[in-house]
Amino acid sequence: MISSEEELVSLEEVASVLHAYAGPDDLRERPARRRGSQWRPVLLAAAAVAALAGASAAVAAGLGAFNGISVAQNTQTGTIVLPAAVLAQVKQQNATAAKWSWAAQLLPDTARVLGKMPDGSLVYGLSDTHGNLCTIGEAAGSCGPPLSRSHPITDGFGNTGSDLIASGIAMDGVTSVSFTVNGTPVTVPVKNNVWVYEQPGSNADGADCIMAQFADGSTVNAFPEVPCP
Amino acid sequence: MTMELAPDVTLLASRANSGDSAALDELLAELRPLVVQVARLVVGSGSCAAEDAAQEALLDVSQGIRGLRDPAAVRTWALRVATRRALKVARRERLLRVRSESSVEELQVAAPTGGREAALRQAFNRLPPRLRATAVLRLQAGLTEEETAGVLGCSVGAAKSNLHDARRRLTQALTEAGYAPAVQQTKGELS
Repeated sequence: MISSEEELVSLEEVASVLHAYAGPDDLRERPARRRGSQWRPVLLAAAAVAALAGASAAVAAGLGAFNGISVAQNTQTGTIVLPAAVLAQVKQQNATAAKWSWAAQLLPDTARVLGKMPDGSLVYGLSDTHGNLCTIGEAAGSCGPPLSRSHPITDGFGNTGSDLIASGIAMDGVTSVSFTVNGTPVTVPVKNNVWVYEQPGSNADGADCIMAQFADGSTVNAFPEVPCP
Repeated sequence: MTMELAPDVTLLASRANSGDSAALDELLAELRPLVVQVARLVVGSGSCAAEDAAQEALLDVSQGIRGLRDPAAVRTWALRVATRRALKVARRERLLRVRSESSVEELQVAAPTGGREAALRQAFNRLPPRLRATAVLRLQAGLTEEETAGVLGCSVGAAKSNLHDARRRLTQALTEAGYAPAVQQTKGELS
């Protein structure tokens, strides 16, 4: 049993090991990004369809990224033009990512409108060169693997300084999203593949236990890494 | 042994905060070693997930700079952003390891061949992410106990307790690996 300060490994020694273990100052080169096996076939199928149609690789990636999201498929009648502020964000992201050969680039040509935020601003979906589903609005964006039964929603939580704002995309069949904010349970309905939640006067900037409820009554823990109390 | 930033980083943060993209590039260059190494250590140096987390943390910093209220606090703010991102990835990776060891990708990086340092690294990688984050913030990033508590969103007491718990677990692991745990500590350092 270790009980005294003198018996513990020293702070200096731990610091020394951390310093050696921290690695280089910049990101390490690495092989192609890991992809979940459950959606790789979707991407391959999308690529095949696109090749037959003579479409671009970018559009192929977009089809895979939007798999299972009807609102994205139905509204896509042609390439949309991203507003200047959003396009500037995309360009900035790509300029940052260009510093690493393995980092994905966002594909603005795949953009489509997914929904609206409470303030009326639009949320756009687009794909990246790794086939991820990316959502972007006027303030921020994020990317993740395409939606699937085990990963049926995206989430974005942020605080404006006075209000908690949360939103995300849900795949077809998801009827509501639930989570807890500072221990209080919240359930948000999904409309047209989009869920949006606002909590005025809140200092929270995140949530726990984010679950997706399907129309068939089943429930999926959408982000197992986020703990459930 | 801690990572220092150039003195004009506050100015860069202020300019980047106002939308100056050239200043943002310079700021990211200044913050990159700090953000990358902290994210990497919290997730587990040598894994692909750690490099992903580091990149995502840099993007978080890039996206969040416009919302930074106090440019003078940019270093601590960047550490908070990097730590939160890294903790999220570290918890996910931990679950993956529990579910399937083979699903975790490793990078080919130089590792110590053995001995006490290797045992300590191995033990560090087995620490819960929050204990790793506390140790990294205190011992690698050089934050005070108060700053560490602020970054982790916990009390100073909890931050102290985390570091003590981390050392206790590391000591236990060294002992089990056949090494004498205690090495004399220099007084006055890292208090």
